[in-house]
Amino acid sequence: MKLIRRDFFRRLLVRMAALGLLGKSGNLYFLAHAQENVGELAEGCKFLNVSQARTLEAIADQVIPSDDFPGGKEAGVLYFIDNALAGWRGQDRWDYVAGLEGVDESSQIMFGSKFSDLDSDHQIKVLEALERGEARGEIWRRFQISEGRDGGSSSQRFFNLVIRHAMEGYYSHPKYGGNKDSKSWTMIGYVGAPRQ
Amino acid sequence: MANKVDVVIVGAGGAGGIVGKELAEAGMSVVQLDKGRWFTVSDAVHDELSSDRNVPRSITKLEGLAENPRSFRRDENSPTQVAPIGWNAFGVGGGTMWYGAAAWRFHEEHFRMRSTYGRPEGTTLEDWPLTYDDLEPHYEKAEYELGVAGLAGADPFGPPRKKPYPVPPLPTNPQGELFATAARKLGLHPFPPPFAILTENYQGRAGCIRCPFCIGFVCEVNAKSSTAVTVIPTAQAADNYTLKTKCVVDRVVTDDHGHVIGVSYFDEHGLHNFQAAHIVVVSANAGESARLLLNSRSRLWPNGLANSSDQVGRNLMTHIGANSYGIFDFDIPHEWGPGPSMAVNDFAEGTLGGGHIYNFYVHHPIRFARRRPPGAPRWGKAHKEFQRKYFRRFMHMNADVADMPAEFNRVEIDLDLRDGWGIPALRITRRFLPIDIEHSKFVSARQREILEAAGAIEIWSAPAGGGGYLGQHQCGTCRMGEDPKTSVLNRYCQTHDVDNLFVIDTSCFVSFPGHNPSLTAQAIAYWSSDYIRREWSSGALRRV
Repeated sequence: MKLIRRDFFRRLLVRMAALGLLGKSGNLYFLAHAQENVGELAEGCKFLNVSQARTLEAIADQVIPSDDFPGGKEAGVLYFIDNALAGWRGQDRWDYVAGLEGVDESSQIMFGSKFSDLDSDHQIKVLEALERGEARGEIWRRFQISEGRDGGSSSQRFFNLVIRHAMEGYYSHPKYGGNKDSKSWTMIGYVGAPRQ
Repeated sequence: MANKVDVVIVGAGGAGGIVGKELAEAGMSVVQLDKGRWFTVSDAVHDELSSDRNVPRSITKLEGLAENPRSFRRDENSPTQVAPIGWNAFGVGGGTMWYGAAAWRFHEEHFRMRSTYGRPEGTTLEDWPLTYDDLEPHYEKAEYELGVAGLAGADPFGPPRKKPYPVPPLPTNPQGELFATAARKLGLHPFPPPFAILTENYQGRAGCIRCPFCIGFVCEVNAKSSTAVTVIPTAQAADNYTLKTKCVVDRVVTDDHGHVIGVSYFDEHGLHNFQAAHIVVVSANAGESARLLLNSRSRLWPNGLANSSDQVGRNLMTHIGANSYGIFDFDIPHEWGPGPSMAVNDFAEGTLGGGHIYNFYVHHPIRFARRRPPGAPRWGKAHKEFQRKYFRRFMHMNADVADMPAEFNRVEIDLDLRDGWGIPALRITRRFLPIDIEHSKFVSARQREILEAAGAIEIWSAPAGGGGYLGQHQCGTCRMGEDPKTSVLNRYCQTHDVDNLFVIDTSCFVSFPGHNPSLTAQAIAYWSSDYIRREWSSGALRRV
């Protein structure tokens, strides 16, 4: 495992910005340092740390649950989104950093544990609260999810962003990492490019 | 000046490409500038996520979007925001490299909407200063030089034509069969719609292989009859024609008498250059052409070049769409491209605000994940089950619906927003009128009837009146007309104010029927080029 950064001051700034204590300058700070994250890099990831990856993977598995076909977790949606954040969706990094922390905070408030430690029914209740924009927590109140997103409150906007990316990963070409072995395409009977 | 050419053309897109070829063919020296680059079959990455047009904010951005910001507001009282991503394409061939290639002729009545239906309150609806008959030979030339597939006589509402289409229509697919049966049941008149897509070998290009990645994608076999694979290469064969890519024009330059003498532009190295010319043709699309005129202010043209009418940028139209969806309890495989296979024109004329209805392009899984009836879950177990059950049991009806011109719908210069070259950007002000919404709802109700007759078990329509961001179908911003006080261009796309300045693209449209604009803009490009050729040989446009 690779250590990204152990910088108390940086952690403090990220934390403060996540809580909105730096106001607009917090977002600017994020933008200026969009190359780096804090904490231990999750296995197989390029951007998300262990805790963020655990939360995102659990969300992905509720957004697309497993049945006789893979769920979001097994299909690799985490790696698809992480790869996107490390590259072509770099502008969403700080929405994820704050948003995933917001999901864990809401989970703590509602059911006393981090999201990934909740049972399935409780996880669904947390996500439904996000979807309705009713999830509680300092982070949602303080942090501005980027403008131009769909939805009203920060939690709603973040949830819409995650659904969008989860679906993009799960149903896209396997080369992007979120649709392992094209299982989702098999499931729906999508032939992609029949000539190939 | 040593390098002065006969004509400089700004933009090598769907219309500009034709002008370049026509004028070069007439022996005029032509320099054509385009801000994009060449795209080729090697750019044809064919998966859903690679298309920004199909999956907005996706993995591949249309090149140039980041450097070309625009701002948007619904109306004068709404906040201005950076516009959501549009679909305007940058590159040789312009939108015709990526478009769905629908190749409609407008109908006879579409050129005289005001005298047929009157002018609805709050609109600037007007007749065109030209007729269908004026354009008919040029439609024909466009169809034959570019290569358009279709079936003459199959559409009882279609305008008169003298010749058949140069290549036969695309074969009917399962959605088309279902659509046709349902439409006939309702007494409608289905027919295979025309496409600028080859269906067999024609002029050295091969026919469509019916891959499912058409709209929003570069064609992998060059069967899509983009100007980049048809007229522009023809023009390039001439010694008197030069195409310069990655050149961004910031200004049309005028002399002390108010005539244009050329354009200034940034080349691909960022160097600022001047291209002198006897004639300037602006073919940059209805957003960018108006922007260039407005940015070319001078002492003699304080409100923007050729804008004594104050009409430059106004009367923006973008089509209000109509979209309805149906799911079925039987399979309707929809995997052979491009996908639209049947259309009806029963509601496209004989009404103020109609449009043609057709089954949409091949659908792909990511977009389908957002196609849900109102209230259906957007995630979780039920969402996955819907995806699984109905992906192959789904039909999307689309229509372009006429929208009305109005003065407040416009593009202007946003002095607070600049592009990657420091040139002031566009501010779009765009809202649909209540009458547009009514027309869209009328057409979507007809779509639902067809879906019902086809046996759909659940049917829903998208809400009317979203969008309008100037990504595609934008037009009307330099309208044609007989009166210089109320229009920018004459019937040949020549500005009323400056005789050696032309705007040749969809900017000239006076009204906008419910059909895709490309082929009409292209017919007008042939028509206007003819005029320039005539005027040039008579010596009228030559200046010392």
